[in-house]
Amino acid sequence: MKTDISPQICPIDYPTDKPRHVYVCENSPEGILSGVYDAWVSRYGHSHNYIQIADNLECNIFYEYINVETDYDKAVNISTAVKHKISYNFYELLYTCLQSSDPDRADDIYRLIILGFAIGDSARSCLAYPPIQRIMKLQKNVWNETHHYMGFLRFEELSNGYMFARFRPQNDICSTLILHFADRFPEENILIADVGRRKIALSKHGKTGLVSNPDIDFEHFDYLISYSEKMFRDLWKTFTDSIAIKERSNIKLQQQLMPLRFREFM
Amino acid sequence: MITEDIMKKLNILTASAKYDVACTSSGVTRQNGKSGMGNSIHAGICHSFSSDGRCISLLKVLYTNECIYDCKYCINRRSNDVERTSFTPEELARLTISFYKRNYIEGLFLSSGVTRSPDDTMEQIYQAIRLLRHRYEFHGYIHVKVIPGTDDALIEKLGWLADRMSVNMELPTADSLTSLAPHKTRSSILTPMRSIQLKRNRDLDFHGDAFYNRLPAKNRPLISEHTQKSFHLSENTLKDNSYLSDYKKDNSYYVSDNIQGYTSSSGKNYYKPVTMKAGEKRFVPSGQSTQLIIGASKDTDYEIIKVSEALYDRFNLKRVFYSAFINVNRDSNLPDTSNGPDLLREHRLYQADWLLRFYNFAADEIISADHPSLNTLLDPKCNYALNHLELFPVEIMTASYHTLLRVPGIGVTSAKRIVSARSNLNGSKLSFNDLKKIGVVLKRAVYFITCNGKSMIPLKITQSFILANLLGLKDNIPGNLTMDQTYEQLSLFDVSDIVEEKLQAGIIR
Repeated sequence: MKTDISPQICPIDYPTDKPRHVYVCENSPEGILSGVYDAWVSRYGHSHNYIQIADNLECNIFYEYINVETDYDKAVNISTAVKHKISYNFYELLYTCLQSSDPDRADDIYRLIILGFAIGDSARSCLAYPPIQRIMKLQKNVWNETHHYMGFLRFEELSNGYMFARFRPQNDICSTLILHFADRFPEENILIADVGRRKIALSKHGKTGLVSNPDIDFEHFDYLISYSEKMFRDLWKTFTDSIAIKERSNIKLQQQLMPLRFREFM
Repeated sequence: MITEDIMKKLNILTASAKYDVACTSSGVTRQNGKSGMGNSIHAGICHSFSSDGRCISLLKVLYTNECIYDCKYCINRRSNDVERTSFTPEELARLTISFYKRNYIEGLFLSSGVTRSPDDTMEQIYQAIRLLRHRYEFHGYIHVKVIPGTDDALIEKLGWLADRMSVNMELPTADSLTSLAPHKTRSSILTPMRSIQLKRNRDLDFHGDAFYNRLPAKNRPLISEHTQKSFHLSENTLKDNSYLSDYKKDNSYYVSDNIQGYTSSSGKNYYKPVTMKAGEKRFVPSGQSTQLIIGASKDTDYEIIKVSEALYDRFNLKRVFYSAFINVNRDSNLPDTSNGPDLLREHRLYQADWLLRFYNFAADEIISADHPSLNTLLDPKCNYALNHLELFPVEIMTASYHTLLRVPGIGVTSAKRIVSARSNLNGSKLSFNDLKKIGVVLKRAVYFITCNGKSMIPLKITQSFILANLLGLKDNIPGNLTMDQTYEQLSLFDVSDIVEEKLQAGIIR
């Protein structure tokens, strides 16, 4: 736990003589990184900059609000710089945090990147610094959800032989999950649809890709599911009913370990 | 392909397999190559939870529920009139593959009743697993149950295909085994167990991995003269304890403790999961486990924990599972469980088991022959601390990692975090607030620690004071404690009357 973070990079409640600039960015990884880029090149001083996501924005009369245009190139600039100049582990941490759906994550990510460029990879272990504490929480949350969905995701076979899964995760974890399943099923064609974000991750013979906002009605997949699926579902139900020991019945524990939000498409 | 027939078989063979506890898919990371199906992750993945709250990660079925044995506690014993059926290797492989493909399961857990002879049954299981691994190129997790008395050659063949193997101990003492499972003997259980251990150690040794699951007793940390004595005691009792000794006599390839030469004394490779590359072959990479039935016989917690310790130390087991006995056969010779299985006893045993495996406790520190049952009111670690108050309070800023581990409310993670935080402090000091952020459970730890020489609340280090407070736990640190010492002490004397009674009744030793 390093506690000697200098005030230049520890700005959140640092007294300022200039009005605070709030960069309002789009709720997407590219949007946040564009915001970081704009705030950085403004040379206004990190202590006076703040990054916020446009959703549910509450305005403060003393702050100056700047709209950030999402620019893919700016985002790539930042991420490649992080990857090459700090470390790959740091890049992974950044990637994980960008997947999070926490509404206040944008500014924490900004502070993480500043600290990373200032003191290098060891920024990850500055657990006494509040933004890093929050970053670690985000990371844990994303990891946990990813791990849960590795188990709770259910595939159904479509009539053309593709394996199709739907889910509605809190965090944007499509891209991490598809890597796991692409390694697991190298000979299958897989579609994983994030119903809430309207994203589809796919893998064909081990090669993966991601489609945002596809021009498909997700309900349409219901008609494509193969006839034999019902039989497997019944088999599985037989198994789960049969494996439970009635004398030990504990529905509360079941719900605690497998909350209802995971069961929408089970 | 899959018919009503399969549905019925699945129903019967799952229902008869459900009393096996182990359903872990952990301990090995294996990447898939470019072909076939499946990989494995060392943390294990749970795919569902059944209505009893247990995780479903493997397709847990019996190969057949026909059985020539007559174990009194088992639902498939030959004297029971139940419907018998069995899978064919092809059916089982297809079922596994189609479940796995839909991400219902993480792999297969195959156990079986005994048809004709143990070797005959294991040969059939081997054929099924081989079909799955080779023809279907399945790289997922496979756990195979080994029937006591299985031949060495079959274990060798199966071990290269399975991720985990387990031989069930079922009962801790030889006497109860003879009375409840007349067809099994201590030696027929321990022989395959030892065989798996030796073959696995050979494989680990070949790959340069340390194979100790638990630090040997002499390397365990000592926090005072007092515990040092008890460690010596445990060493001696281990050497001539009767629980596993009948096995030692009649077995030629019993190895003595000279395998200690391979241990890393730093404990660095402690529980290190095996990582396999695509196509690599390892012998039982995620180790072996076993299961003990709790409450079917008159065996005490002391005997159970001693046996577990011996299994961890002498057989390098990864896990010992405990299963609260359910009298499925309504057998009048066995204890009645109509009020439900003894889940609290099972829970306390698991807690004690964790102390053995992750906290470097010796069995004799957790429990003694004079008081052979675990305390039902307190968890074993609190119980240990209360009985060794001379070792506390522990100073957070100076205590060693292993000393921190002995404090109730400080687990492996928080102890590690405390140690790493201390080395990065740059002159500042940890506070109780920091400890809370680190994850220390202050409501238990607060009676046993000081931070920078101060305790968080005024403490009286006596058994009755701490016990009364531990038992009267609210969600947070008892608020009345922080207010006024005199008042709080007065109110405590009321509570401690009950505690005093319990102390005298011998519930708390």
